[in-house]
Amino acid sequence: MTSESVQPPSEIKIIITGTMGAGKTTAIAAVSDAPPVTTEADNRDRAAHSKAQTTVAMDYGEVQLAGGDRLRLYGTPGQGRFNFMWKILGKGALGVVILVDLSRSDPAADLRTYLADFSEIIREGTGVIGAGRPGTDAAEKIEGLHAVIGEMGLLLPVFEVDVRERSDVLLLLEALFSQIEMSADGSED
Amino acid sequence: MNKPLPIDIKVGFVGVAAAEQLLLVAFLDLITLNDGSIFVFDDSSDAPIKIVDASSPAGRQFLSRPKADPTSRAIILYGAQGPEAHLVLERPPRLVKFRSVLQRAVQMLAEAHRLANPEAGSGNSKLPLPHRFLTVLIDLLEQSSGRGWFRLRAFHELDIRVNLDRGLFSITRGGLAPAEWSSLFEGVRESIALEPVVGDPEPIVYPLETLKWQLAMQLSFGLLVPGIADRRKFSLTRWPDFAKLKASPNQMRLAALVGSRDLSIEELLSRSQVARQDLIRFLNACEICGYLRLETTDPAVAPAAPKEAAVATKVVPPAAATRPRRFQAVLGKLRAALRLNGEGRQS
Repeated sequence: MTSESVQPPSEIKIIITGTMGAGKTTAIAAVSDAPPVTTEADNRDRAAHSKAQTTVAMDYGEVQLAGGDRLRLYGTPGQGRFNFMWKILGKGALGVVILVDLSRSDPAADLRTYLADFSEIIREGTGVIGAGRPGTDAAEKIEGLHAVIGEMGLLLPVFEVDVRERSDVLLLLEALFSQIEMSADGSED
Repeated sequence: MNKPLPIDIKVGFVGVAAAEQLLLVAFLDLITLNDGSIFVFDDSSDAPIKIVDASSPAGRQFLSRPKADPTSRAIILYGAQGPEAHLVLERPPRLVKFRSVLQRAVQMLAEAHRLANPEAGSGNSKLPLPHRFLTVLIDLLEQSSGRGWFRLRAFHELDIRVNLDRGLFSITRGGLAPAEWSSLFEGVRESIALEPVVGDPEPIVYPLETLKWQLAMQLSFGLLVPGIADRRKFSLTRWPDFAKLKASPNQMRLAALVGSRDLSIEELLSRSQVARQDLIRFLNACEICGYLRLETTDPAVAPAAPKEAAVATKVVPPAAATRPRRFQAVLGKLRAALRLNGEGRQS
């Protein structure tokens, strides 16, 4: 028996973050084997978003694989007052999906916040930006996202997506998987 | 040799997408570049490409075949005096078939050129570049200025409009009669230009980037576009938006590779395990869309990097060296479980 055959099951942990209403819970539900575990409560910050309920601790979904391997997906709470959860959830994550709501007044500033807060994951691993809710000024706002990414010395994919579409969520994940795969490949340099 | 040949021109655009329509225009441009004898390209069977002089017995026999021949076939004829090129598609081909015809036609073109110019040798350097049209079009788009919608003059049978400020294009079919097709050749060769469109309602539009990307995907034919042919290493200044473009698993892997470090073509081939043709297509598309960082073979003469490249410093993840390769096995399982066949969103 080879040593490879007795390795413990592997887990890939991915964080899905973004502002309130950006679609984090929806994105997890799109790919999770079972309905995601959510911790929703009444939204007390209607100024930030008008939806009635919002995540207060985390969302959780997973994809079970043969041999006990699994993909774990954690959604962060969107409200800033719960941002103490972000570092807790981010521990051990291989990558982060940042969902940006283009209908907000300054999505570039939103992105800057999340890139800074998850910089440890992004710099040690991988990241992808999903830009949703585009309006007529979407192209300009997406340019703003690229500018922020460049200012921070990063090069991350920015995809204009609708996370209600499972294929778009899979596209975001595929970008992360490719980054993980290719950076692992580079480790043999 | 140069008089019109007694064949009907039946070019069908039925069921052909915009990018393929442009391909056909590009292809018609290509065949006017040649100055050799008349050749016949017989695509009526699955046999290897057959190239014969049209005036030879085999050529005359092929031309005398009944027009009602039910098989799909393409005949390409060209002469020394220019626009004597004819493309005959007996029935509108499916897209896959159409692409196949185009690719095989380019092979034919190369072989015909070799026959007509034996002193040119067998290398590709002396051949007419299949993507000459592509570079002309892209240069035109990028050099033009002005606001609002412009029509690409010279594409008489196609109403192709671009809006450079908004990065959009539209394409619709026109009503060019077969007898007027020769004007298409003249136009493509000499007078591609933009003219303003005033007063028309806005057409159904698409991002211009998707047009550029698809042109590069279809018109590369294994050759790097001139702007990057002499580069030693490649890296990205920006990821393509694969939500808008048709992304293959190979393209996603290539973007992840050149997004994290400078790599040569051989390194990219080795690490990505993609076919050289696919890599060339990807690099051409990234270059045309402005996503590649500029670097030349000789660092002493390397031009200044573009502004966006200066800030897009590559981050090589420090933890990559400790990342277990066993994640690759898990990723394989994940792709299978999620049915991530890599096609992404088919826009």
